[in-house]
Amino acid sequence: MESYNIPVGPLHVSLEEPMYFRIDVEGETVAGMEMTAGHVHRGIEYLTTKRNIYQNLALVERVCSLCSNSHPQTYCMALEEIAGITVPERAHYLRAIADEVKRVASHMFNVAILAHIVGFDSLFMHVMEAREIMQDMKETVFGNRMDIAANVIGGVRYDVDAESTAYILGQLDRLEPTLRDDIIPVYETNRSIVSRTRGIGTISREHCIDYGLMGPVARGAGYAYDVREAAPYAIYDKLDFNVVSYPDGDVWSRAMVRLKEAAEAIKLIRQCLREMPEGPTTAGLLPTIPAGEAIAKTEAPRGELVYYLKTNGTDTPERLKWRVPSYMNWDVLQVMMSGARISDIPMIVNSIDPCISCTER
Amino acid sequence: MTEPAKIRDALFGVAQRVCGEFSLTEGKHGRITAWMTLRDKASLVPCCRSLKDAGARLSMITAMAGAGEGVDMIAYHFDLDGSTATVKVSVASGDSVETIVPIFRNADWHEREFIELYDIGVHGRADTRRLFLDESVDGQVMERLIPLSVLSNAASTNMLFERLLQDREVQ
Repeated sequence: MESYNIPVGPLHVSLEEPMYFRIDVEGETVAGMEMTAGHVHRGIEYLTTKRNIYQNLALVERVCSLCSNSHPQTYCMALEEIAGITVPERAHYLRAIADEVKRVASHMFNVAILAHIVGFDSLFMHVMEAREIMQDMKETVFGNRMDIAANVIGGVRYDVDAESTAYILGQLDRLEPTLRDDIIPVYETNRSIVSRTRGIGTISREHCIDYGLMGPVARGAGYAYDVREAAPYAIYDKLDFNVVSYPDGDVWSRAMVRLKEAAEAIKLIRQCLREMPEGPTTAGLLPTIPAGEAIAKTEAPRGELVYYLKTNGTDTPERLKWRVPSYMNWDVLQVMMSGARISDIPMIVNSIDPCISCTER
Repeated sequence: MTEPAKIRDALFGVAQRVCGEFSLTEGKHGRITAWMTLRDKASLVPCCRSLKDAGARLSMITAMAGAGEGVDMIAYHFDLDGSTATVKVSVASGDSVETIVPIFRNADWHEREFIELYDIGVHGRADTRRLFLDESVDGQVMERLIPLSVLSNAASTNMLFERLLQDREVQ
C-alpha cells in the first residue's frame, strides 16, 4: 500500500479558521497527523497588560465570537474576586441567561456544520434557520448578534422587563419544539447522519483524563465534568439541570451532547427568568482594585474556560492569562484520526468544535 | 463530587512534602483555592507528581516576566474536582525548569508556548519546536517592549487600502 502526505489547510473549505494539518495516509487510511498552529496569533495577552481593566473587558470579548460572552464573564469573576466585589443576585441570573443563550447558538452552529460536511444541506439550513431564532433574540435583547457585551465588572449591562421576558419566552417557545421534535430526532436516527458519524473519531474516557479534555468532547466520551456542576459560579448551584454525557466517544456522541445541552440550556433560561429576584444589576461604583491574584473558571460552550489575573494596585493588569477548552482538544485529534478514512477528516476536526481564535489568542 | 475535606487533606499532604509557602481558602460552594510557592524549582516535579497522585488535572500554565529583577515566575494551575491549586516557582531569566509532560501529557502545548514567549527554558523535552510563533519571529516577545504600531502591523494587510486607491483611480 502506498503512503502519502496530504496537506489540509491552513485555508481549507472545511475549516472555519486557519490551521495546517500534515496528514500521513496509507491508501485511504490516516496513519498519522502533525499540526502547525499560529496563523491567527494576535498577541492579545500582551495587549491586555497595556490596557486598563475596562478596556480589557472589551478586548477579551473579542478573543472569539461563538463563546464571546464567556471571556468577559470569567475575566470579571477574577477581578471581582481580587477586589472583593459582591455581584447582586439578579446580575448572577442575568449572567446565566446570557451564558446559556450563547451556548444554544454555539452548539447549534456546530451541529449545523456537521450536517453540511455530511452533505445533508437541507438539514444544515434547517438548523441554521432555527438558530436564527436565538440570533434574533440576542440582537433584540443585547443589541448584537455575536458580541453581546452583557457583562460589566460587578454585574451586567442589560436587564429584562416584563415585555422583554415575554419576548424571550416567545422565542424559546418557537425554538424548543423544533429542536426537540425535529432536529434532535434527525441527528439521532437519520441514516445519512448516523452512518457517517457513529464509530468515527473515537476516543475513550481514559483519553479524556490523559489529554485533559473538556466540554462536549469529554462528555461525549463519558467524562462528565461540567464546571457549572463541579465548581458552581453565578447561580448555577441553585438551578436544576442535567450534565449530558454519552459513553461512546465518537463524532455522533459529541454532536448529541451539544444538541441535548442546547435543549438543557433552554430549560435553564426559562428557570432563570422564572426565579430571578428583583434588585440591582450591578455592584455600583467600583472600589480601587488592589494588588492580588485570582483564578476563575466557567463552562464555555466548548468546555472549561480558565482565567488567571494578577494585579499590582494600578488599573492595568500585571498578567492576564487564559486557557480555552479547544487548547487541549486539538492535541487529541491525532488519536481521533488514527485509522480514520480521508473522507472523515473534516468531520472529525469539526467534532471538537475547534476555535482557533481562542486557542491562539 | 469529592468531599472538600478530602481535597483539603490531599493538598495539605502535598504541601508537607515540598518546601515553600502554602495558603488555602474555601469558597461558598465548598470549593478550595490553594496557592503554593515553591522555594526551589527542584521541588516542581515531585510536587506535580504528588498532585497527580491526589487526582489533580493540569488546567493551565502561566509564565510571568519579573519586573526588571531578572527572575521570571511560572504558575502551574491544577483542578481537583472543581477546586483549584496553583503551584508557583521562580526561575532566573535564561534558566530552565524540568518538563512535567511525563506526568501531565497536556503540559506539552503550555510548555512550548511559554518557551517561545519568555526567556525560560524547559529541559527533558523531546519536542522543542515553536507552537504559535514562526521561527522567523524573535522569541521572548512577552519580555520585550513592543510599540503598539509594530504590534498592530499584523492586524491588517494593505489590501483594503490598495483597493480603495484603485477604486478612486477608476473613478
